[in-house]
Amino acid sequence: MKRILIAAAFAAAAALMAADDARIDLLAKSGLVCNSVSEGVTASPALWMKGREDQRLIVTVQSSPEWKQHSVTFTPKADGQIEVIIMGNRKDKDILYDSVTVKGATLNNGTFEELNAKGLPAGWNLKQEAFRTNGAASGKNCVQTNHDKRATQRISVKGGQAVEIGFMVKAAQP
Amino acid sequence: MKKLCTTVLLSGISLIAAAKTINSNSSGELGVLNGPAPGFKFEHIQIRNSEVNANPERIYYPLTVNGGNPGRCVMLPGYKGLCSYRFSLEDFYIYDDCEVEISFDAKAGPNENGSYTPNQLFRIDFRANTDGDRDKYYPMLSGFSFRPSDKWQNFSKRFKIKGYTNFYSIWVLTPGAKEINTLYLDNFRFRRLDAPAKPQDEYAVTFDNADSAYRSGNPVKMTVRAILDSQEKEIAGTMEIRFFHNQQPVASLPVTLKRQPDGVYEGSLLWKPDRFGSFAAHLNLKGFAPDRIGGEFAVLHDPVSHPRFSPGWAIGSNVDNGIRFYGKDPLESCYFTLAGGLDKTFRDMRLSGQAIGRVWGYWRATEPEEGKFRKEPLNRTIQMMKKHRIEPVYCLVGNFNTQTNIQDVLKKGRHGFPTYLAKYHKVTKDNRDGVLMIPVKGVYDRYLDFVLKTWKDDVKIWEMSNEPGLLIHPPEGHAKWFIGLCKYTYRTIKKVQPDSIVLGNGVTGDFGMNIVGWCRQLNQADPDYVNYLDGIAFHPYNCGLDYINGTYFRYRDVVRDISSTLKVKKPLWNTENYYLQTAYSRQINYYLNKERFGANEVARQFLDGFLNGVKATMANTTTAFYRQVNVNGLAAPNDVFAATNALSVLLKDMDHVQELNLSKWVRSGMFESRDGKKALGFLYDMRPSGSTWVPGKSSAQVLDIYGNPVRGKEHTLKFEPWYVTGTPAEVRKLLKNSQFLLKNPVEIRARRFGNTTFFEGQNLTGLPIEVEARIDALPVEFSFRNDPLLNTIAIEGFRGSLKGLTAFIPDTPAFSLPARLALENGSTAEVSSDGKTLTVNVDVRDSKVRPEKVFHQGSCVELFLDDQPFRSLALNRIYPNQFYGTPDGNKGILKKGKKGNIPFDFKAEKTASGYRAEFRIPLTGEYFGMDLIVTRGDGSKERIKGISGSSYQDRFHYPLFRNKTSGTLKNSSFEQSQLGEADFWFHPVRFGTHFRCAGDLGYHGGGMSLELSKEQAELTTVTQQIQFPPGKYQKATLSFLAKLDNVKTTSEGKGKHGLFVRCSMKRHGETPVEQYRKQDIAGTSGWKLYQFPVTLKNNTDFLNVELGLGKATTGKIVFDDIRLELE
Repeated sequence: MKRILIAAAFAAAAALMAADDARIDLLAKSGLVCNSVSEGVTASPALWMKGREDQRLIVTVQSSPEWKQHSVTFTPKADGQIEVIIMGNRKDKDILYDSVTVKGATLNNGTFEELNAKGLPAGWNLKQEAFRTNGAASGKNCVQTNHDKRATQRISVKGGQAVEIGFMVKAAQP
Repeated sequence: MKKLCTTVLLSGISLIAAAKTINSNSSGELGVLNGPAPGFKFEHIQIRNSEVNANPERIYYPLTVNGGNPGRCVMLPGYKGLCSYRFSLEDFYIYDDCEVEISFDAKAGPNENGSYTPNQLFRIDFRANTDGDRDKYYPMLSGFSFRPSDKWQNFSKRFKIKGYTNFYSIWVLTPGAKEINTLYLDNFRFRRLDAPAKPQDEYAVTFDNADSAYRSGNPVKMTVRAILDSQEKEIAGTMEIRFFHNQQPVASLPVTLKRQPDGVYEGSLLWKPDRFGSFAAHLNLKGFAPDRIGGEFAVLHDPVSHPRFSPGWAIGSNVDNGIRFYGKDPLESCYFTLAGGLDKTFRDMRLSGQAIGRVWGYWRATEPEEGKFRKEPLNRTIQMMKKHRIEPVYCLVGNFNTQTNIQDVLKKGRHGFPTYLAKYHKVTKDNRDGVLMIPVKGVYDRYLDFVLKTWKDDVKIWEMSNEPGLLIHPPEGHAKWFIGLCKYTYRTIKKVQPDSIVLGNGVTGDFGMNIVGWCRQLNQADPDYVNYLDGIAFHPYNCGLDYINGTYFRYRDVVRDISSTLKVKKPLWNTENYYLQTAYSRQINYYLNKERFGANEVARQFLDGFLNGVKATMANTTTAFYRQVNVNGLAAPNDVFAATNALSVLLKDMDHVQELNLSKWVRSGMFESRDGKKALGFLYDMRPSGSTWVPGKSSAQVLDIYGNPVRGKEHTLKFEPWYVTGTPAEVRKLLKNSQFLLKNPVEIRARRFGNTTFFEGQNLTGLPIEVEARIDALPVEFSFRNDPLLNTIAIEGFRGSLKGLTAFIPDTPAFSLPARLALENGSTAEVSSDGKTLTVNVDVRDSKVRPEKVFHQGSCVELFLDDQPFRSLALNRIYPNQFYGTPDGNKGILKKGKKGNIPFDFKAEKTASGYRAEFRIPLTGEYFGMDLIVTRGDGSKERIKGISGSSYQDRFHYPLFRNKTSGTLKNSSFEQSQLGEADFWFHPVRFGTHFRCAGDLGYHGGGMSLELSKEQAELTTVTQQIQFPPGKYQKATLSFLAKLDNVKTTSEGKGKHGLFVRCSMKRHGETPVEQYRKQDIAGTSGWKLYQFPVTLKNNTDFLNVELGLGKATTGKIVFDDIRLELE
């Protein structure tokens, strides 16, 4: 049944999402509402999460060979934490992210320049293969992710207070 | 079984009430002597060519003669040259299984040659005609043979038959003999054995013109003969003359019937027609109308001649060439069908206004053996057409297509191609058909050579072949081969006749095929094939009219679709379309049924053709122009005949036509003469209910479908075209300034539940589509696609007035479940539901509980359930289901006093104060009406407080209940939202999109707004998914209120842009705006209720409902009250 739901649910968005290869998911147990996005970005609820569709916002955009700035603005329904999941829409295509900024909440080390003891960006949860020390939009470092290779961070939010997340995206060279 | 009939009734014809016969004129008494025999006809008759050529003017029909058993009888003459006939009684319907008997008296006599063959065998054939929607072959076939002698004998047979949807036929068939006796029949009775005794009470009207055709100025002399259950010497009555097509009376004439010595009543009368048309004479005897036989006739205009290629010239039909490849020497005899004679066939064509005729050129008739050619009998057809000034369109090769097994075809012997061509037979790739891919050199070339040599002076229009593209998977090279033939034909003919016209392609829309498939195959082979044609012959089966059963402009679309495939545009000629779908009556899927259509259909076929640019129309068969039922010995010209005659006359001097756009539903055009001084306008309404037409003020003259001038400020406009004549300016002025009034397309009845008002629309237009109406100031759509008659919509918080509705059902108490009801004497009932089962727990307070065997004579509880409280609101008295239970556990269900069979559970248990009764009844609907009555032990009734009425019969007084668990869409009225986001509705967000759900946005309370400040590459919709057991529902209707604010589309989307609706399900999606409206809904409008039907497919277990705006769209739309009704 779930396969059918995934296959059938919201066909247009699924088609679009497949075309957009860059993806950031926002996961919030209390739910969130997307207010607006910058040009080229699509933000869709996770329709496969029956009854909890508003708990995951899937933000996608088509990457390009050059760094481009994008943003999404959302409002959490209640106080709590939101997990920001930087990933990709495909397993076979890597995307570079840099200069992640947040307004209305606090995100650490959005430029990935501060490193922890393991030599990985502080404040982020990611594996070595998702970390890159060259080709960044600014500074030295950025992250290189795909559908299975992710970089995540939890941020605290207030219910009813809008949060804007900005980020830069570029297609990783093969 | 034969019975010798030796008793002759001396007191005249027996009029004692016996079982009424199903067939008419069983006594054979009702015709005039030596005139046609009413109630009988020759469906076809075959006469040797030698006789036909000697007497081409002869007309063949069964006669009424003296010498019956007793009195008059029916004579089937042994004509000179007679080879065979199929003599038939009237069609009749029997819908029930029963036992029947055919019984008749028969004798034989010498034929016209004076020869008599003793013991000659005749046959009776009895059959049900196939209803192709359910059967492949006729399901009932019986019959028997009989050998009449020169004395009267009785023959009969009884047998059981099945009730059937299509008509039955009884035929008398001839022996296969060189000399066929004259046959006399009397007392031909076909009856049901279980039929009650009833007097026959029938009459026949016979005309002094045996062919029932009159011209203006000719008086119509009628003889009436009747068999009546009466002993009076004279009976006075009136004969009402009515138009056949709409039963409108035009004259009422007194007539007196006098009882004759043989007991038959007879009278005569004269009518001087003051108008043209197809008429029927109806006898009325002091309020009693006996069964009528015959009585149909036509009054016709004198035919006119038209210049070649003018619109008037472009009217014709498929000519009956009289050739059938049945039996021995098929080319030595001629078949006549309903026209009844050779010269009459063509004389009638001319009289009906036809100037062209398609001649089926059977190759086998011209070259019956390889290398041996003959011009007869086809030449007879050509010469007859020449005599009557009908231009032939000669179809060179009847048909190249055949069956897979060519040996079977040859064995049957009915093929139209020379037998030697079988060696070129090829089977198609899918093994379904065969085709003769004959070579040009040495085969086709000599055939064409002969045809051209023989008829080059008489034939100037040639059609390559009939429907060459019918093969679904043709053999390799088929299209190329056919193009080769076309090229050869074109070049050869043009050498001999440079100014001739060669038609080809021959695409047909038959059999549900993609009608341009053949065009594509030809283009793939060689798109320049069109350079070897002057015109495209096409057969628009199932798409030959611009209104067909609620679908519009199929004819226009097929013409456009074919034309779009042509590399070089060529005119289209409609050379065949035997069937026309009737606008007013149902045709059972059977060949003969589909050929029976009326005046409006044939007029529209020609007029739609002209408007769609069709060069000429010769689509129908000869039989379409005659009455095929209620025949008075010889088939009368029918309303198709009269309407064609009128159109031809009205088209005199007309040269070209243009379409006029008068209204969305009115099809209209205007012909103009070449000198620009005269015009003929026409119009008809494409809605089954029609409208009231108020012509614009003008000096132009309005005429009816038969060309009769009419007066009046307004006329009923339906499918029958009205005509307008005058100067072009006046005709145009009259039409352009016309009004078309539709007072009320929908009757609306309403009933409330709380704050929600349910409006049921009853469709008055007859259109099975969305019909717009207004409920006070609110525009609404009622969708009649799923149910062509009734549709219910619901509006929460309706703000308007309910005055002006056809009916408003007074409010009754409304409860949301679970609910507790108080009865008058302290009993209570708890009503609840889990969405599948309704549970009613009744706590009966009764100290004298006394169940009885007959439940209502003792203590019991009765529930009356109306499971569709907002449907069929014109009916209160529906005798709802009545569930009952008694204290000792007995239960049952009744409907109108009869036992029902809805399974339900019931239990009862004693309590201190009486007893408790629990009903568990399957019920899934969201709303229902219910009444509850307790019969107490003392016989009194205890009811719900405040409720009264006869619940056994009526339902409008029932309280109403709503089961919220049964609802489909959640938050359908957008009352629930958080941070501007509607609960349970989801949508993507993109740059330029803006969504908001708020309490002040809707028609009533909350609403959902969706705004696009820039076009989107994708759809922008809100969506919700509902789930249900697989395959539970087959249909759904989605309705919602919407308000548009400056919705604009940047390109035409034909329903894909602007307001967008989609319902996705398992492996399928429906976009009803695109599917049904085919145009974008945009602009600015106030609140309006829209409805869209959806068909659920693939056993789906879910439905994704999406609403919003399409691509290439900007603007804002607000939604409220989205409802989904599932069936």
